[in-house]
Amino acid sequence: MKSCEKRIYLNNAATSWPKAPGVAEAIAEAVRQLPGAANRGGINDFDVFEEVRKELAWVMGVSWPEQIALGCNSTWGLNEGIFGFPLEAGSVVLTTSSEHNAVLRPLYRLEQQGVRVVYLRADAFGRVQPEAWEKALKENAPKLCILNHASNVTGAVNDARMLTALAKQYGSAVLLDVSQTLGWIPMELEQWGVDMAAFTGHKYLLGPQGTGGLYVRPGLSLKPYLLGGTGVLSDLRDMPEEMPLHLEAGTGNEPSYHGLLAALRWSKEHPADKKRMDDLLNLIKTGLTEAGCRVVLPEGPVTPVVSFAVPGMSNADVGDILTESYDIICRVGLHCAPEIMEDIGMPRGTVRLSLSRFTTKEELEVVIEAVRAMAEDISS
Amino acid sequence: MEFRCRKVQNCFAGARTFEYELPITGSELSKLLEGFDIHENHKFRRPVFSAKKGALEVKGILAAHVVKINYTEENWEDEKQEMERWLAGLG
Repeated sequence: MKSCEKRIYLNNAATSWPKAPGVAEAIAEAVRQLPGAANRGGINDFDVFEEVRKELAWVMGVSWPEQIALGCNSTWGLNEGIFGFPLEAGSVVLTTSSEHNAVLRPLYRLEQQGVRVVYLRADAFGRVQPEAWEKALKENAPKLCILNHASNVTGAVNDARMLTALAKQYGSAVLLDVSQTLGWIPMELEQWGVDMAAFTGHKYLLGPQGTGGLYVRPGLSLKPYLLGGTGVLSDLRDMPEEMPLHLEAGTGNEPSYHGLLAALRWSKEHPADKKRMDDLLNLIKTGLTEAGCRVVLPEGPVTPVVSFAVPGMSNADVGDILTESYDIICRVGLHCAPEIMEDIGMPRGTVRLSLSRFTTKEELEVVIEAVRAMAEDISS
Repeated sequence: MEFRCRKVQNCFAGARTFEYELPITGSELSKLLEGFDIHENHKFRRPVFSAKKGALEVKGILAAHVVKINYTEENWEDEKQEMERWLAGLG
């Protein structure tokens, strides 16, 4: 029997662990040092937010770091994008059934205000089909389209370039939720014509929680959702027009952004070995399938996320046994994306394993051993 | 018997699951549960038990001091009070 001493962390789609080397040290150092003078310092002062913006611009494939507003997470970015975009009663928003509640709940609020929201069903793997997308664009003429780059439940990656191009053909703006892909899937947001992109720093960027935000293309002005001090232009009664100040009210999370900066720089120097990750994903998907599990297996580009169920067992029981009997940390349930469950034929939710570049083959072999034991128990 | 209780944060619709830390093990608790259909499974690395009475379920690791209780959705508050009274009354 293998040792139970070490916990196996497979919940990276929720938040990554371990973080990139150097993150913890950078945060601790930032807390010990004098606070920075973000937006107020001179040219020789180190501005962590400015440095993070530059690194993020490189990862996102955009030319204007100042167009990246930094907040506390993707949810913040999505709320700023959704409520800040110029919509009025009667405006149409097109979104999909595979979205996270960070998109759905703001949209339910907008519906109460008279905005019409069209929910396009995803396919059986949680992916948006371009034909259906174009049909919905043609029939509804949305002012704004909101979709994820990849499903947090199935890992299926959408063809964001194509879907954005289609939206543009029909005159729609696009807000892309890159929470599950930034740091994992290469992106060229500027080239793709994306108008806004909400991101987080604590998933595949390997940074700490409390970091994330919104990219807004130049020329698009949002009505800030959160108002407050900016440290400059204090005589104005409204938020300054210039980005990123326009969207950044209040004191930023400076220590965590030092951590994110360390993560971004580390990742730049240490790109993930995608071949190794593909092999690991194949190992776990094959192992679960051979054990008799129902596994969601999207074809094409995916993030390192696997959703499955063990026939004859509740997802809660599977999760409890994985965690308590085998020290495997995973996630079970609806994963804050309740609408996709119907599409993938798993209305009661799934058991989700989400890998990171630090996941090992040995760890996945323990998962397979655990699931096999459950499946054998059911069949005996 | 003294115990600590905390609601389990999970992502299921209508979940009413609570964790209890007890001075006795899951194995010892299961022997005290009357009228429950009790199953033990020793095939896993850490053997587990589950005890069911209708939709009410007590489960956990046999050798551990923390168990989970899933209460019936419709009357979970009454059921929880009754269970906690019973736990508190155990010697």
